[in-house]
Amino acid sequence: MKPSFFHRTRSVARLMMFALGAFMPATALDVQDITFNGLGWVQYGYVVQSTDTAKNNYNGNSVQTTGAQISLRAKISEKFQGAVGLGALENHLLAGQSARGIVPLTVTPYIAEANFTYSFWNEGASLLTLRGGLFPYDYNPDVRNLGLYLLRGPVHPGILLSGFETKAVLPIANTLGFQLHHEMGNFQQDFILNSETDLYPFYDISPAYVANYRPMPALRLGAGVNLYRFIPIESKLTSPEYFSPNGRDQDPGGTPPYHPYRRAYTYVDTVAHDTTFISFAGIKLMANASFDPKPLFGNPRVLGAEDLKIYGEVALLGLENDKAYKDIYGDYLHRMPVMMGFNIPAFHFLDNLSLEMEWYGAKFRDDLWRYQTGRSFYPSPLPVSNSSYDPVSVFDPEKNVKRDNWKWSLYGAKTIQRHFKISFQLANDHFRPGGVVASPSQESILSTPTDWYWMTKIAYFF
Amino acid sequence: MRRASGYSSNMHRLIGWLLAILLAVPFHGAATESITIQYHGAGWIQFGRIEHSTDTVSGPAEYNLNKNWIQNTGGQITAVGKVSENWEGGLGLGAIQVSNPRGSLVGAHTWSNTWNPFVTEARLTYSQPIGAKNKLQLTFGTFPYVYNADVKNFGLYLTRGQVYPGTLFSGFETKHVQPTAATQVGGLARIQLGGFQNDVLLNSETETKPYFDISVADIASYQITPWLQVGGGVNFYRLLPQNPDVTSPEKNCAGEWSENNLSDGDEQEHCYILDTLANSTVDTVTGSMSGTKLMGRFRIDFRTLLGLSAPFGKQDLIVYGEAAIVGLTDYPKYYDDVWQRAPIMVGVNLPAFGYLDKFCVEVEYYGSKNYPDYVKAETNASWVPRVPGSGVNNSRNDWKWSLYASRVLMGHLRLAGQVANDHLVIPAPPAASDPDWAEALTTPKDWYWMLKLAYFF
Repeated sequence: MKPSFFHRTRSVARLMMFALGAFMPATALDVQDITFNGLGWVQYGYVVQSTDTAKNNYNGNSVQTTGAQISLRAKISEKFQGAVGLGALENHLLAGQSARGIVPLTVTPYIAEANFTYSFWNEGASLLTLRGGLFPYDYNPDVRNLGLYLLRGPVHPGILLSGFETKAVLPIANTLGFQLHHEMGNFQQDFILNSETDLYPFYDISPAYVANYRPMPALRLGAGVNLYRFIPIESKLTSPEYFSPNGRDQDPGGTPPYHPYRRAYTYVDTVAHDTTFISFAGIKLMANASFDPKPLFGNPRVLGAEDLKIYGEVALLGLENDKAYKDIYGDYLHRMPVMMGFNIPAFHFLDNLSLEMEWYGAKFRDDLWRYQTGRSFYPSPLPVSNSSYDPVSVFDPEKNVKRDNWKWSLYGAKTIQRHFKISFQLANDHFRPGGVVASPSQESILSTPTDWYWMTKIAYFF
Repeated sequence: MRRASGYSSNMHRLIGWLLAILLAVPFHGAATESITIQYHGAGWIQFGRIEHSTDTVSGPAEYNLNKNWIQNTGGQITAVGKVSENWEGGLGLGAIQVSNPRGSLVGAHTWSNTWNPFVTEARLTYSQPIGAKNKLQLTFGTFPYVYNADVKNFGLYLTRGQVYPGTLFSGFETKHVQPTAATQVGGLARIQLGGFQNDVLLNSETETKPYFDISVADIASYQITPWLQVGGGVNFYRLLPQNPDVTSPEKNCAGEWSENNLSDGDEQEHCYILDTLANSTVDTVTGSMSGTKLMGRFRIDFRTLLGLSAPFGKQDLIVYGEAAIVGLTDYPKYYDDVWQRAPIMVGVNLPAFGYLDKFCVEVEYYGSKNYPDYVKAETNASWVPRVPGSGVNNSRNDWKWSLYASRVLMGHLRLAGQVANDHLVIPAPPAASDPDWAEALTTPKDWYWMLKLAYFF
């Protein structure tokens, strides 16, 4: 018998009762300074063209969200700072082609940030800080949409995440763990420990290292490595070494010979009769650069601070390269997303107007469906097949593997009176609105060069 | 703590207005500018693992909690406004990211996590000094309440848990032992006369079904000497039921009965006991979820008694204990021995010599022979305990223990940890077919550990 909503709600309440601990001092503490930050927004957009989605038809669907958050920051001492922020987001799934277009709204609370920062030293050009908790982290602040490959998205399969002003590019918590930050002159480096809370298997810890060097004011170079899920909470889930107990790997169903994509963890080489267990863990490498030519000709006032910047990023998603990994994920070239961005001169009419392009030759479908958890799902590091929505159906390499290799995005933003921001985006990116009510999905809804959507947002912040 | 400036002062003013609205009845004329507001914030990450859970092995595979990782994270903001010399208001919000346990590896594919909001407090407090040292205090609304600040895991029997069935709540830094989030909805009248303190508590039940029954409690403590404190209390649990037919159902519950998760139990005993007498006749015993709790406790500070100072810390060498009777009324078959309804706990703050703020071991004895599974109460508001059809040895979990340590660094960063075999109740994994309210640790070899990193200001 399926538990009722009430029972599940009660379970959550019980977990909360178990979890809520105490940190509230009975007496006032000597906090030197407290400041508030607030943010509220309304966002509206429209899916103009969505050609080839497997489950639903999103053409002509409207997308609207609204939300607000408030943060409190306390400078407790010269070395110690704390921040807490709460927010709520009103969102919805898409309508699909439902005749009446009715979709229910959901309101979700979230923590905008909850972190402390301790400064070991901050002397001149040298800085060492430790930040812990839930915090925003963005190693490539030039990126508006595409990129940030090192810290968002899984390794196996190498699915990319992007969209309009996601939490990866906004000052909203996207990392749970620690950041040790060091600056010395023109050199910066970060050591990150991140506990995975977005994707199954949850809570695995990924150590990452990111470095940036600015050899001249006009040029920034960066690189990093992410040992994704290298500290698993349960290694039998992250990197199984035996046939999974749900039986899908032992008896994948269908008609023999079973295709590897019908399985959850294993790849079977039917020629060599060799079985390879595929892990959720893997290594990501990343390099990025940003070039701002304005300092070379005296920073003319007619140009905005972001104008004329050229930036780019390239990554390698997964170093495992034996036959099984090559067959499933392709060779290194097809695991290497690369993006370039250019800030078109906006002459102060806009804060920035960014055109970004991306190429990613992954041979599998741009769908995170196999990370979905639930009674009917068996999360898997194997990609979704290309022939139909069924993640265990037969692989069809001819369909829909190259048409989505190129992505693009045009983003613009303008801040008015220092506290209002208007922004917009036209893009063919990895937008995943979540499907429709009757058929949730984790697929990217833009899979051919003719697909695109637009989004606008008006925000108030202080 | 200073008032914020600039745009922060706008937020300050907004919160002042909210507090003014909260205090609207007694202070309809108060100007918000006169409110002095203190802001508090906190954030944390907490994680641990159930190392051994015996009974969940023998159940359906999905319920297996062995080696389950438990993690949550959250944050909260609270504003406390001093409206006048006598009146104070507090309000706060938080959100927490929690997940059900994954259960066995077989059911791990159903794992997920969610964000949930909560209220830290929404209260109004009136304080009136009586002379130089005495005080009267009235609090209304939603607020945290802890009558025994020494306990870190067990105890607090008077204000947490049900009477029939005799549920004991415990765990790692639950909101009941740490005044973070609201535990009471109602009112509190406190009078303090020197070393004597008396609390009259009115609480509307919101944690366990049936909701909104009102309990009335009186809790007193007396500081006899600087090293000795004693206390006691009575709780008339669910004295004023919201619906007497639910709280004390007689035999009229069959039509409202849900069979959730009871297929292995004696399903005939929905909300009454079927007691087989000596002449083989079956007597139907009706009862109620309401009942009376009694509690007594003590606290001995041996450091003060013996005049010890450094290197001992302020919390070192304190011995504390608490005992209770959970329900004064005997019912045949399941509640026929009052001593089986009498939990007792003792805690000792071990010497930590300033390296830790608190380092305590707590031990509890609770001789209830009923199975520690409260699914019947939580799903059907039944006062009758669950009786698994397969039968279990319910003496295995009479003894509980807990080792707890915490340390505050730099005044605002806190580390805490616990190793325990306590009354931890973990919801059923999502893969499980039914909700589960059984304690996870039922034999002496069961245990788990937890760690927490928190900051606060």
